[in-house]
Amino acid sequence: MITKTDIEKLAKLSRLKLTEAEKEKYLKDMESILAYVGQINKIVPTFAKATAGSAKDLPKNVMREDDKPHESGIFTDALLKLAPRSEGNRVKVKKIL
Amino acid sequence: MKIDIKKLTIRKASEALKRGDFTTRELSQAYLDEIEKKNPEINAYLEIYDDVLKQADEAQKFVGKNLLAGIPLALKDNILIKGRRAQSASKILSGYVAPYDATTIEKLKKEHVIFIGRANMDEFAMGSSTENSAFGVTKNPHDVFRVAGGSSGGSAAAVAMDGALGALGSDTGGSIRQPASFCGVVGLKPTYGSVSRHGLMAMSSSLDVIGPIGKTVDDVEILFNAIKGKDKFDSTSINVPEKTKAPKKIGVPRGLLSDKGLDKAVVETFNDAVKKFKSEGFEIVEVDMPNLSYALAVYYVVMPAEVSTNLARFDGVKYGLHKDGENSVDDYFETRAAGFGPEARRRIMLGAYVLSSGYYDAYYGKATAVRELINTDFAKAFEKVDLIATPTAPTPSFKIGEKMSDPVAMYLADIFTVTANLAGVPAISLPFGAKTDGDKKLPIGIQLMARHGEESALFSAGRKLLGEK
Repeated sequence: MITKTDIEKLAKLSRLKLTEAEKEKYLKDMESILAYVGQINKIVPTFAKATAGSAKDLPKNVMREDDKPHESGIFTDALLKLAPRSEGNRVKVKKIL
Repeated sequence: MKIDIKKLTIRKASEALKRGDFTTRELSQAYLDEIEKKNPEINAYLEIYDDVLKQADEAQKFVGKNLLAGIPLALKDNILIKGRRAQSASKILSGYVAPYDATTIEKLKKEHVIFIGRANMDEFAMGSSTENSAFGVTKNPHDVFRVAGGSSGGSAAAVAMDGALGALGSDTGGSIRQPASFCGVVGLKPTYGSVSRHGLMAMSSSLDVIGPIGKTVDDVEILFNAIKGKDKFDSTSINVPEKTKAPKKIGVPRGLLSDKGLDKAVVETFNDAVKKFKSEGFEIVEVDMPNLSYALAVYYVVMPAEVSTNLARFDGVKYGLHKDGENSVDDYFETRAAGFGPEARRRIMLGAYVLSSGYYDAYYGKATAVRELINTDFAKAFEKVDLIATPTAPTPSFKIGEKMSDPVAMYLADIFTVTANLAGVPAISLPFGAKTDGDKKLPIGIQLMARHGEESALFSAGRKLLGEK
């Protein structure tokens, strides 16, 4: 059973500030959603290994060769322009320590 | 000459441009005029680009060389075009300007299509009605008191209201097919990986795919052929074969269709479609796919888990909205609370819950195992049949506001569509029949699913159902 304390914990993990009214609302919503998705616990799956169809090249992880990097700095301006706060060639945030 | 855009398709427009019946500028102007008339009420577009006619003049040079040259398209607001705004209909990406082109956009630019504007959507593609957009709902062109569907509601409505000849959407659990069904147009969810996700804002990475919406199966095939293909920027991308053998057998999972929530008109229309397939020479076979009834529950565990991960990047530091708090960490809380709408927050928290150490096994672990069982159901069914048919959605379009207070009721709109995303198979929604409601006709869609990479089977059967050549 999900509780208001759980909602507060989840909001913290999710970096979301919630009002008291929102906490109550999300508690109610989550209860009904979890009751619905909980039906998957009614079946005991056997870990079947199968995929639909016969395509030979199904998606798999492909790693890029870790070499030939792009020239340093060529994207810096374009990306820094998107940051709400920047200074020089850095993204600016509040003091951490 | 006066261009009759109601009857126009991509194919016809392309031929007319080639003959010189009208210019790309005249064609684009005809669409801009229609948008000016209809968009204030329908709200399919969040932005109309100010350089449409300039794009059209440039495209004129390529008429006759490229099939898609000069064809006006709508783009879902989660696909990046360099130098243009994109924000997934979310406040958290206010002011964001894309620094690069999505691979699909790069491909369409080479075809010299016309980008008309950004189409409305549910925030970060989360929803089944476009009611979760931060910029208001997209209304259904067939009945403005009803939703256009979602999450690619703007893309589907843009095509249905003659505000574009075609559109791109994205489909994570039905977000192309369900709005296509509600708006009476054709929508394709391609095989997972067959269209590059590079430059598509990530929602649920193991399910997301970009796909086309159009008025005919032919148009959707033309667009799919233009955007598909392996891409070095998306390691999950693959090439799919051009042609596969013609489909002969269609499977119907009757077990799924006994659900009480199904609208009577949808059931009748589906039965009519099955009859039509029979008369076109298809063999209809009943298939047993027992685990499909768990698909929606599996989806609502896997998807929020990936959403909570993907949306963690929106922190007010790198791009978009920034709200000040007391300290650096507090900035995140303030920014995300101000930037994300209710559904996004709900799914982020749900994802955090199903991935948390105490509940991981009961939810996420279990859901991935059941997802494998669903894959097995598909594999077994596709040994017997070439296609699987279901309705696209359990009901025609519903009224605006009807399901907003009950998230589970809203989620049930995706019950027939999420299965194809979980299994990665291609699926198409075909407009077939309508429910009469007073003086309104509410479109109904029929869904076909095929084996991985067998889009061509969907196109050939789809053409037969709709009577296209």
